[in-house]
Amino acid sequence: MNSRTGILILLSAGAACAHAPVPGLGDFYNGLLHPFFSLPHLLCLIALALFLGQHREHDNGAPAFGFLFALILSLGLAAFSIGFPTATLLLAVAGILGFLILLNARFPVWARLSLAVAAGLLMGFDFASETVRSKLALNCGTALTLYLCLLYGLTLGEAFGKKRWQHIGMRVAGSWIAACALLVLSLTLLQKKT
Amino acid sequence: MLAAFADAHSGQGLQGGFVSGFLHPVFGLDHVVAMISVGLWGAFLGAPAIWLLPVVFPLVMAFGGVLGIAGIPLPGVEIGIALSAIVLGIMVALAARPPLWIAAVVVGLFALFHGHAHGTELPHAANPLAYSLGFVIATGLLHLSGIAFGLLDRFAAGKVAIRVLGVVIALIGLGFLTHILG
Repeated sequence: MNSRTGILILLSAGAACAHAPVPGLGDFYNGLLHPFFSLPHLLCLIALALFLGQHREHDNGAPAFGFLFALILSLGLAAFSIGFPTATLLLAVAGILGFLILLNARFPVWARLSLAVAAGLLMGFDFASETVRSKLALNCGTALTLYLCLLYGLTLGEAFGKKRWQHIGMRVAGSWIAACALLVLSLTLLQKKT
Repeated sequence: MLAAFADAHSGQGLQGGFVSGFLHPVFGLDHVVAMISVGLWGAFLGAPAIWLLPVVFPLVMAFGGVLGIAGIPLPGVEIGIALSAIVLGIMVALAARPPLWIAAVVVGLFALFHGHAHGTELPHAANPLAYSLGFVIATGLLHLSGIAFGLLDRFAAGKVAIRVLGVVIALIGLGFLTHILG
């Protein structure tokens, strides 16, 4: 498989993640629940939160706001029917972040901001692609849940990395995320190839 | 453009995938004893092996899983899994303290076999990501239970108990190798 084919596969349609809305809940509350039904998003979000949380001695304000901005931008583009499935790419980002957590890699703020923006854009585009027609309330609910989950995870990561065993626990979690992402990515790519 | 794999996340798909992935290593005695012995040996070797070995295991296991998914045959998978229990059990029983890199290579080698066995199951799972999460978490918890038992090392009676458990693990591995068990 040459590099061009590999890029094509990564950019092509990912896992179908559409699920029926919960009847009677309304668009906003369905949007709130939406991320919890999509494992690639959750895995990527947890990985991003732990990765940022590992940098607790640095300011994570810019990456957190960058994520929110990218999320709003990409979900907003759903109004113009701009959105494409990115579940495979999200898994790749989760895997990379898992390895970085495992390695306890330290990154400057611009690199963390770039990763957060990339994750936000990918999540937004994927959710936008699932929405049959643009629904503002649904997208607002989705954005709110994703951002709150990032903040909770980030705060937990910052608070949880103070003792040595907690720090090790985060690195072990990184290895689990990387292992899961590697397995499912390879399954996806190999199935597409065949 | 290219067909994607079906991953509709209905409750059944997610739960079914996670539960079957979680239970797969737990219900296989050969997997259980090998993974407990990884944690046990890591705890026995102390830092940094106590966390490095359980980190090496899932990563190399994932690589073995990729081989299984790709259909690349790994000769003697079942023998390798049985041998993992025997070798790791003997290491614990003899209180062997090799250099860290040797311990990591030994654990990594056996993780390949375990990963290959799991990997061949992955394409049939209801939800592959939930399945892989389930079995990676189950593997980690089995390591943790081995580490918890290994922490008895600080007591004189605990040292004996750990070495006895190492013998039991090696015997179970021998049982699988000779098909008396399984």
